[in-house]
Amino acid sequence: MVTIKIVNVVSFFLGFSILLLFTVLLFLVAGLDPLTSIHLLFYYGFGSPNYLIEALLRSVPLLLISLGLMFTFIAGVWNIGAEGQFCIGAIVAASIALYTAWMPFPIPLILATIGGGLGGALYALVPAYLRAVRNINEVLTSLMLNYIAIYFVSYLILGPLRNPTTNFAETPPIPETAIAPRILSGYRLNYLSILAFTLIPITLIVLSKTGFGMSIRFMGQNPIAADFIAIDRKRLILRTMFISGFLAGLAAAHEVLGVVHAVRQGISSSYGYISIGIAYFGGLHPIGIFLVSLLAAGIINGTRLICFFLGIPIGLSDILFGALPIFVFISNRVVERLIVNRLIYGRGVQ
Amino acid sequence: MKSSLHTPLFIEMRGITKIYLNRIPALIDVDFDVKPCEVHCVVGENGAGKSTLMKILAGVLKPTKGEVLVNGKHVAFSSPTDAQRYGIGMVHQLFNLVENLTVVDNVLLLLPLSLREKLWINRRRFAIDFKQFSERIGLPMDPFAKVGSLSAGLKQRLEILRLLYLGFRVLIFDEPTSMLTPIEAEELYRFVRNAKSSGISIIWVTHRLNEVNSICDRVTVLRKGKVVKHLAEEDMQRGIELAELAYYMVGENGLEHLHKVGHRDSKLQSNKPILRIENAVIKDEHNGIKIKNINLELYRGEILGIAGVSGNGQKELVEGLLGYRPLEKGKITFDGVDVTFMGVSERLKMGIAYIPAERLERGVAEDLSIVENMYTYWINAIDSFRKQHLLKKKLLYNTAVNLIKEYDIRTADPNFPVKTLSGGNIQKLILARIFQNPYIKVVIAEEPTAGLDVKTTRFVHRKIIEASRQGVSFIVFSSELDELLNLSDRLAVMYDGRITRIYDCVDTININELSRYMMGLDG
Repeated sequence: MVTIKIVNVVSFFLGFSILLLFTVLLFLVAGLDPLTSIHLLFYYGFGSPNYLIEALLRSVPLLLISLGLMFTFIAGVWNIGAEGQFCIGAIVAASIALYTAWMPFPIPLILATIGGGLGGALYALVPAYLRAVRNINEVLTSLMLNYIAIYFVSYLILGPLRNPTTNFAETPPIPETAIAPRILSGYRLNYLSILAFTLIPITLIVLSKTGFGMSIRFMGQNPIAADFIAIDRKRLILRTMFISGFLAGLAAAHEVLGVVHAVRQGISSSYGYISIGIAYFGGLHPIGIFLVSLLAAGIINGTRLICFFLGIPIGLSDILFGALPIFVFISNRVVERLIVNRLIYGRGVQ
Repeated sequence: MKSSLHTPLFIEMRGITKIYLNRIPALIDVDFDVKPCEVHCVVGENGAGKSTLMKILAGVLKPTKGEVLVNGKHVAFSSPTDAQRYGIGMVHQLFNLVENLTVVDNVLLLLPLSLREKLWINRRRFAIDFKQFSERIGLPMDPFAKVGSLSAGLKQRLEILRLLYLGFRVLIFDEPTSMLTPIEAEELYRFVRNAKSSGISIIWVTHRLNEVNSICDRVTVLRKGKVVKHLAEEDMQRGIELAELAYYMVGENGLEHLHKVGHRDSKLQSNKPILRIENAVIKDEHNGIKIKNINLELYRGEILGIAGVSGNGQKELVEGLLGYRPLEKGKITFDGVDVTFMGVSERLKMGIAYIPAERLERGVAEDLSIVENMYTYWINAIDSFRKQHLLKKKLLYNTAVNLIKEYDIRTADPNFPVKTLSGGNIQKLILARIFQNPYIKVVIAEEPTAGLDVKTTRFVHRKIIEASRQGVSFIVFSSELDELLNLSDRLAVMYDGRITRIYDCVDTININELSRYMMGLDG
């Protein structure tokens, strides 16, 4: 419905303005001139073709993970484990790439990409199974599994998969046969990034045109009633978590095969956590999520550069994204209370 | 603490109305009073408003309208603590105790002591004091027993003792015997009869009528949020006919001018039943056996009414039939297939449908639109939709919009969320989406017209009868006797987890006899 979409946009801009205000506050606290700093922040984020393409590149993992999280959140399944699913996806993709290097070019790339996705998906099925069959809270299990994944990857890159030539805590470099080729020389954007962007219309169709999409929406709104209109909840929990994990793994494959070309300590850069806020800020809608992840990517890039140039702590973007879910929550609530209930339905519901 | 023994309370509630958020009034202009030293029974079915009235008296809920007077003075309770200050306390159905602590500690927890007193309290002396107190009252209790190890009866006893020890003058018992064994219940009755002499008033809320005669001084009967009958002391001394009371509880009007809108020529028994439940035993969530061996058969195109005071296992039977609650024993066959171990969604996909009493909780997703609430059911329950990968949204949408017109669902826009609809319109939505499913064979309807106005009620009845003529079978659970007598082809009576009687022909039912079966006084 048109009005509902307008409401989403209003809610987005409200949240965005709160975010800006908060940023201004942070700059003031850091003793900087807020207007110049914000100008610089956005300049380094999106100000030139080079910066814009870098922002697009960084938006890919955020986009993929939050598209996956979108499904689980719509279904009322709280997957907090994208971080862990990302790590497992990364290490699986890297291992496949390393061990299939002898095959001709596109095969290792394809295998590693799919393998990365499946790695994340299988890892997500652990909390999904516990939730669906044993009714164990998925927030706790998925969150705790993150640490297992992070330390397991640490173990691998410090031990069996350590790069023998440099002896750094990283895997050997990904062989040529598994590297995703770049689209334009000189820019890091690659063909796996394109794949990610094609997922925007696909997820949109899945959400609005399939029985799966509509059923998860209903289940998320009223899980008990879902039982009584023949929705098979267990299956939907498993499916949404599978998709979510798969996309997180795919995001990892993009980073490993397309950008970093190895698995290093801290490869996920907290993408799994940041994406929770992005999925909500994007209104749990693929296009909104795309815009927000691009915005977030620009802000991440921008803050890193201005932190470097202005000599302020690099944690700035972490603070911003840590606070993002709160702003989203506030703006959604305000818009719902003030606009939707009052003006559109013409009554104060509850 | 035990001071106020000599200040009996006289409580009056005038014109109490309570409307919950779902906009269905729970109480309408109810007058109620409690005299000092009496046992006042409040009877009525589940959902009649008994609990709401008691919660208002205990300060848990605020009335929408009306006033509460204590000893002639206006009071406004805004929390249970306020009511407690006047000595009004509730003995809860589910106990308010800390299981890991001892009896004494549970009493100490509630004592309004200062920090100093808390630190220096002599638990041993207190325990002896409490033990003597409990013996004096006539409910002896070991002060050092662990609460977790006590039986339900003793836990309840502790709750009572605790309130008395704190000086409470008015005790509200909400369905007090539902968790007790017969012996424990007998002890409780004895206590209640004695308590009056020590200046305590008791409000006894129940739907078990045989308790009424043995302990009550006065009786108030609630039905659908209204006081339908009040029996004063004189009436009680004259002795009351329980069947008469039952009659007030479940409905009195329209019995003379009964006319059946039904349709059946009793040929159906010859077919094979479409749904059959054999020797079913079902537990409730507290692990008590709620359904005790039920056998039922439902034939094609028939409407089977289930009469009974609610709380006698209807909810458990519905959930058992749907697969939402497992059967401890027994077997359910649907359309020739054993469905005993199938889940809810599998059974619904086979052609069982459900009209829930709790519409908002079980029927709809309030924040989704009206059309979405309709077609999400179709795409899950109907095979041909589930097998499509991409749905024909336009078709679904148009079907839904046509149904909104046909069923006269009042809304400004089919895309508005369901929470903007009234209760009656939500019920129409649920019916509309079910009857649009061509594969429906059996409908399990719980209170299909509760909270609806006369016009909508008639509409719902007409739709049910139309569908049954086309071969859909119905099991209708209702607390409205009139409704059941109007709709049903056959009528089964449920009491205490059993089917106590099945009437094969509704027209010849003797209402008096029926209500006796409903109260478990016969058979």
